Amino acid sequence: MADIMIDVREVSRDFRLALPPGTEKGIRQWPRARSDIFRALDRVSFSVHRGEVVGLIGRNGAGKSTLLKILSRVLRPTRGEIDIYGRLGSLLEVGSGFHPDLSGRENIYLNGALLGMRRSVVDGLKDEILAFAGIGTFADEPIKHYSSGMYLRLAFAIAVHLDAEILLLDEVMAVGDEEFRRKCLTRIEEACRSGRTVLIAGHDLATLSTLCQRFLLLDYGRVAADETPENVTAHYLRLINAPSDRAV
Amino acid sequence: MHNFARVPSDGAPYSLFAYAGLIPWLFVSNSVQSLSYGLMMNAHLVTRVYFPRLIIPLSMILVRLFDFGAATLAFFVVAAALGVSPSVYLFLLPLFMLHAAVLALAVGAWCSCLISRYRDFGTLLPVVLQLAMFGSPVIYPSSLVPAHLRSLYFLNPMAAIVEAFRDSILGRPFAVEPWLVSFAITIVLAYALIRSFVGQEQHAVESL
Repeated sequence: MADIMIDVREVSRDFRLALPPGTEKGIRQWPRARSDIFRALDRVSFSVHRGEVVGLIGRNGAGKSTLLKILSRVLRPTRGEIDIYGRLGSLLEVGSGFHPDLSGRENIYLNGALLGMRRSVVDGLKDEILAFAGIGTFADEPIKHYSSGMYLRLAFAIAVHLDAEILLLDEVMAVGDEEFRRKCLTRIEEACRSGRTVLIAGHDLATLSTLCQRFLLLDYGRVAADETPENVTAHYLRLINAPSDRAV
Repeated sequence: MHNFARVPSDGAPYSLFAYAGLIPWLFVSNSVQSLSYGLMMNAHLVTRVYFPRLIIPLSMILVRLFDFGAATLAFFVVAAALGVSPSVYLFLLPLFMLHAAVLALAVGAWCSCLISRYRDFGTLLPVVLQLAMFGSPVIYPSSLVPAHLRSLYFLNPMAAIVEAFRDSILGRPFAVEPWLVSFAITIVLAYALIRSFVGQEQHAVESL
């Protein structure tokens, strides 16, 4: 099918765990000491088309954030391949790409630059972003003095306003208040209507299912389900209620 | 004072001699130190957004170059006060500054990869740099080095940089040959270190 924006093929990601303290192994077998490997993603494959809004759900440690980090190229996959077709903006954890010593206004430019946008383009968007974030008089205050709500609002405002064709959002609505959440939802819906592709991870199934046409459920690093929100939600609830079969 | 602790200063007042040597040395040494923490200091950016990480050391070295320029300008004021006027060799100064910057960039960037994986290296680095200062003609002229050790001595690329910078700023003819050797070493070293940085940056960032 045409218009694929994200294509993930058989992606796995391993993390090497630290050696437990006091192991002589670390010294005696240096530099070949073998530590245990944690497989955060295990042969994940899926693709996302233009204009799709996909909710990424799963329990803690299921691999949601790792997947988003791999898609935003911060982490490399251990195996497998990804292809991204289009300019990608991401909001991984609160305050992605913020510099704490720069003011809110300056951070908008920093993020614009990281997305490869011209200064003049950001000039035009700046006021709209500040208004959306409701930062008001704090626009010139260094970010490090912001409250976590302000931080999040600015981060989200930047992420949705800057000119990215693909948007990766990780648990963005965890900190904002009800009013801001509503604003976010409207904005994400607008973004989708304008043909942007959104991949959003979170735990708030009710909110996510109003936004997304499709859920991707990860469990122990594997794709456990990939279909309509209703079906996947049922699957997910079964998972949660089932006794845990692997310690994470 | 033409002479300090009987260290010769090749004719110039010792204070000027030492100042002229310290300017390029401190530029390189401070740059390497601050660049080596570049990835770590920007961990919050680098672990959340992808961009070519070489931008970090590059932007840091530009800041340092301003500092370098300011120290050089201040030198001329001191030199004028001591009655030493600049000469025609001054036009070579930007070249030597650039040379120093390339070396500092490559070494600093490479160290930043190393330090993000092995933090302890950060404690070792100042000691190494301090030792390297005594291995470069900063507070003494290279004419003090015994003739049979000179070719070995100038394998340190900083030796010829400091010497060439000082000669041109004090308006003296400089020795071309050691500088050319140093330039060649710098190019090869910079190429190898930057390549290594590009190859390792992802790994370094993931271990932050």
